[in-house]
Amino acid sequence: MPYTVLWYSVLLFIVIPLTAGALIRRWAIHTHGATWLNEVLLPTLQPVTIIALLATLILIFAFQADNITEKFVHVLLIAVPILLQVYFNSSLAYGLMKALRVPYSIAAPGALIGASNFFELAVATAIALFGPESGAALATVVGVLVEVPVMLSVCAACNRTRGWFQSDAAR
Amino acid sequence: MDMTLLAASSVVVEPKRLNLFERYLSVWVGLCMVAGVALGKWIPDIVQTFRGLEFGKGSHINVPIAVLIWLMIIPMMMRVDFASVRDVGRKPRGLFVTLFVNWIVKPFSMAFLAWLFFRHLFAAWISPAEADQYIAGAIILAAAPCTAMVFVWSYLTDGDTAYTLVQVSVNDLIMLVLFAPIV
Repeated sequence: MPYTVLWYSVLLFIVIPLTAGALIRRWAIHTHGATWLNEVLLPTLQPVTIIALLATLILIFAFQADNITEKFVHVLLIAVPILLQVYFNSSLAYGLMKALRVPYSIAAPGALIGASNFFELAVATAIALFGPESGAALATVVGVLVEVPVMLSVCAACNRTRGWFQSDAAR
Repeated sequence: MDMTLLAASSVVVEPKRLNLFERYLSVWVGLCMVAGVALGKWIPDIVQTFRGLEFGKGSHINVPIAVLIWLMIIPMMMRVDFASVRDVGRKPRGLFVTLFVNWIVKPFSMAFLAWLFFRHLFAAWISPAEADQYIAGAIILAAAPCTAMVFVWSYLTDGDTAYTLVQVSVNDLIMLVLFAPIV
């Protein structure tokens, strides 16, 4: 079952959006030119990204409302090491990137990939191995809950420390 | 090399109009979390119907969330200039760091932190049997690096889209190999 999730995810979240994005890009450049794409179309779509992100957050918390209210203390306790883990791994990746003089535009997503979790797969794996009512499944659900807020804080930290990488960009 | 990659990325990245959003970010996030729980409690039937919409039976991929993720990442994919994907292979250092952190450090640091907190520091509130379950769940979580949402995070930090795409794809290929024995 987790393997199915993995294949579905690669198809749904990489192959389909990449194909759609590439086709729209080609169409936009052919009909309106690259300037229109970069200066009109993409900035227009910007608020969509933000609204969709906040809507995702609402759905995630709505779906888990019962877990949150009924197991509130355990949800909070489980969140502690998961949060530490996210901050530790993103700092480690970011620090290594800086030490290796990788440019900011690669270091920032690298730090984010090192911290972020693939929650659909984790939940499916935990349920397949231990069952839907298991503590293991609950722990992966907490991973789902913390994902958006904690990753936004890592994004904010990256944006604020962009200056660290300027010396590399100047080269 | 630095210059070509930077030039390629700076062409597609324009200043973001996120000020209102960014300034009150923690407020929006907090409100959405509360609103979500409130909706789940007040209209549980409707929420459960939405939750039940999955791609295929037992895929655990929720249709409404998948659609929202598309809305987020299709505009990002529109930024990918395939000419710059080829440059990634000539600049592998960033990729090595991500692979090292994701597969060598991450599962073990999570196992250690989970064991430390659930078995020791929180032992007063969590029984040893529950602790073992939570440790297992945390390790599963750490062994599964993210796919879709990373594009959003990369976008919010002005990351190099082509490089992010390659990093996510390589990590997913590794996952396809590593998760095979679990089935």
